[in-house]
Amino acid sequence: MEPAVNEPARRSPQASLPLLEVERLHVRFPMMGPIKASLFQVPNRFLDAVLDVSFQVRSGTTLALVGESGSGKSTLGRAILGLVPITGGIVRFEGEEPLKQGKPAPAYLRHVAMMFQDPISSLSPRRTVKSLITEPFIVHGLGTRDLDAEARRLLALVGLPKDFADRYPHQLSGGQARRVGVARAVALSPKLIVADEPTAGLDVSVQGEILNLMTRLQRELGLTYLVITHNLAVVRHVSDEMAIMYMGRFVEYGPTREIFAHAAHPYSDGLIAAQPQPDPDKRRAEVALKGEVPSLARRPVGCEFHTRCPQAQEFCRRERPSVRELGHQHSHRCHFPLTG
Amino acid sequence: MTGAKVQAFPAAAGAADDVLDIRDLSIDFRTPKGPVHALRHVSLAVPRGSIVGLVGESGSGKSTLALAAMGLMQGNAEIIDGSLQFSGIDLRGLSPEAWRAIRGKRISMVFQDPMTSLNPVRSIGQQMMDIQYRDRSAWPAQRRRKAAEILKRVGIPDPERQLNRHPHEFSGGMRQRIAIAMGLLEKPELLIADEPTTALDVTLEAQIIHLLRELRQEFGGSILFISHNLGVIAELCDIVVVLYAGEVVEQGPVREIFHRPKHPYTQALLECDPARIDLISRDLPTIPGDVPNLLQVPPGCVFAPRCPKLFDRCRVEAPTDRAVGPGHAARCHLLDGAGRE
Amino acid sequence: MSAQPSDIPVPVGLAAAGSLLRLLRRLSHDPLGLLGLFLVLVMVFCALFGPWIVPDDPFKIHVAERFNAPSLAHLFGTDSLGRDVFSRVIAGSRIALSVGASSILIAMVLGLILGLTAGYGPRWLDNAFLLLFDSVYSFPTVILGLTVMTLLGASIATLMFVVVVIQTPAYARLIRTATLAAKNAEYVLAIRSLGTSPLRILVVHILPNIIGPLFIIASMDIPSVIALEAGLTYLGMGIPPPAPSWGRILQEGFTAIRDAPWIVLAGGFPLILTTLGFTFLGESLRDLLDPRLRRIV
Repeated sequence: MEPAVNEPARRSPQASLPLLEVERLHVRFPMMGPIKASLFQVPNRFLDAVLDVSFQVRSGTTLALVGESGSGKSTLGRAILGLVPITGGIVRFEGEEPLKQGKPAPAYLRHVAMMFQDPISSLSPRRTVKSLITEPFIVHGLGTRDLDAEARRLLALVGLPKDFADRYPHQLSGGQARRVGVARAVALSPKLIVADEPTAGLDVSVQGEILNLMTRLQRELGLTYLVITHNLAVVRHVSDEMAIMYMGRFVEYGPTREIFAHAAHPYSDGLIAAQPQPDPDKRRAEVALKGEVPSLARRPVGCEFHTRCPQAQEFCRRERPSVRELGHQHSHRCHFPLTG
Repeated sequence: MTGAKVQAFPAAAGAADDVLDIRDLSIDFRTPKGPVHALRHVSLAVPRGSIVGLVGESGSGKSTLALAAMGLMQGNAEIIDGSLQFSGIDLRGLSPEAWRAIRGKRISMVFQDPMTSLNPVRSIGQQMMDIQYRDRSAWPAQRRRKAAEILKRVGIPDPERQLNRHPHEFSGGMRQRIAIAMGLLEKPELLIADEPTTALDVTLEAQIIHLLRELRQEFGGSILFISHNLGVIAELCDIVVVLYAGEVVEQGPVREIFHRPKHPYTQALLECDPARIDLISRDLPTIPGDVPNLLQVPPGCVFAPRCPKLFDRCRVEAPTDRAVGPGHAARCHLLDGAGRE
Repeated sequence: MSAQPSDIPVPVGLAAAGSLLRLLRRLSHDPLGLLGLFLVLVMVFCALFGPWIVPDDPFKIHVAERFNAPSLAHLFGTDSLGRDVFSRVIAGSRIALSVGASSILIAMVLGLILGLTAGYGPRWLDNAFLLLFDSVYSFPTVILGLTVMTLLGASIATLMFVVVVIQTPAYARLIRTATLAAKNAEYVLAIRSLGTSPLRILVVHILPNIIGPLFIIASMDIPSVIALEAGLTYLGMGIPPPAPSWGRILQEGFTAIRDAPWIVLAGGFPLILTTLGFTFLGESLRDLLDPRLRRIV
């Protein structure tokens, strides 16, 4: 017997098992067909967007996936939802493997939801707010419920007035559209929400509203979050653990406080240092990280970060570092870490 | 009304030497629903050789101001009051020929999105040579050399060869550097940068900020830097102007604004920035409410509906600028000695 | 709470519930659009109420009155059989509209189905459809029309069949392109993440967004269909007499051009007005409904 949708999710009896477990995930995209590749003599026709990624998320916590453009964080989020096919590796949710068959098992999508980056363009332009937030019910065969009541409940949950039910996406501000996205994501009381850049495009004065809403819902509904973002200031406040991605791999992964206090990988350190401080007395004379991310089609040999690393050594140019543990579930990929 | 209206910038450095002098500027947009009062009584000055940061969130009117200074406003925009002067030249009602003499040469602009602000079908060399069309005495080879020099200066490796490439062959960060190079090619007196780093990753953003600082010192021009990112403003600017819903609510030297903000909006904005909050917290501050509808600006202080320090006078009477320090002024009744009534 | 969109231009879609009155009010600012609307309404009026407003029976032969010049009694004069040309023109509007509008409608529905399938379905299906569309599309229109009419015999039904065959690929291609673009849009990705079936995605989410431009383009094709009919009839393969289609009037007018030059004008005149009407209206609507031209400040 399923729990009523609007009851807070109960802690599963196996609360000690992580909610989400990912092992050596690999997502690869073909850039061109095999014939064309051999015609043009392209050495590598694939792009590895996510490579050898392993992590766990415990129920009720928030993991932040951090990285710049091309790091693979968005692809990773989509892969977990089955929106992009997985080339290799295992995704385990509550002990089961819902993505084994290629297409995600329908029951899985009742427990996992996604919030998309652009708040307005992730809402179908010709549908009302009410139909958008009740869509999950219809898709999962629960359309016989009183959808009006559910819509009212969800709008109240995210702090939007009742009369928003009849509005269209183009009539919403960025912040309001984000709330609608949140409402849709929590409609079926999922266990895990993947939030892709929840604060992108929002003014600083309203960012807090959405983040506070997400925090409140986490407490009330027992949610677990995977937050994808490049905004480190936000990460520091809202996440329990964080993983920093570079060219598709985790270069550092561990408790947020740990990493901010003692980053092990030079990229993490550089990224944290690159955040501009809103204090004119804290101006930096030197730029933390020079250069740009290499193209995914031409990966550097050895440690892929060596082209930009301020402390790269000859060894780094030859040998690719494997994952090293630092204790307290803090790991990294660096031959010469800054700590530990 | 107590206290005379105070000019935000007393003639300390010689107001006559302001590259951009905006006084009491008001701009309306004509729409089917009536005029939208996008900017109201805006006064600010960019002293020669300084970097002025214009901070504003959505609906503040910061882009409108930038476009007005370039003469690139939309067709339905209209300056209804005030003055806009560039190095002593009145920009209001300037003829198209006069604008062409100024744009790209004495004032230039860098836009937010490097993908769309560069012409995709012409090579960057061609575009950079086009900019120099006013220099009739220069041979093409000379123009090309000038272009290559500045490309090198902004950090594009192997500039001679890159001149033949087209914009789509460069990455986003490179494109923005090229856009900056194009903006500074003719060594303009004023460079207007409208959110130039917003679309870039944070490491690239840091590089661009650093570049702008260095270049400005070398070339001696002035920059009007527009952004909603307080961190970037603090890194780069000498003077900060805070814009809210079409009005300048506070302006002053960067340290004053960040360490001793006097307007409740500025204070709240700084409090909301997660980078300024030392103690890790899941309960982040916000400014509740929305920007007012600029079709019908409410009487009284424009920030009143959202101000945590609101009192009765604020709703009925619009505050005027009050000096709070050298070069530092804010528009708030709290600064009026006889404040609460 | 005054909920105001920010000054970042929020893309305004169709005034989605399609408030007709609001649209008409905005149309009233565009003189060409208004003119177009007026002309189209006149034509629709004539088509609907033809039998009641004609001054004379379009089929009544009155040989004694043949080739009368235009007069108050016969606004467009009379033709070779003494029939009132004005009445025939009005009667012809019904044929023009019914043939034009209904065949375009059928082509639209077919084009929609094929285009959605091609755009959203697997690559090989898309390629197969494209091959089909392009083959039909590249056939010269009039030759195709003549061929089919000859093979199947000239009639209204055959004419409509020809129109459907010609127009469907064009619409299908349009819908296919729009579907391909929509397929990768963020809102579709969001709906897919819920586990929505492809059919529901197509019909409930994608279709409403792409059908707008189709209506406008299709309405601007109506005059081309009418002109096609006129052309085929003129060449002798159109709707058989005595049906007073405009093409028939033109053809008869050409035969009698030395005796009664006004007939040709009478046949061509409504054609021109209808084409202009639909074109002005269609363009005006398209500009009005273009989201990029509308910004909230």
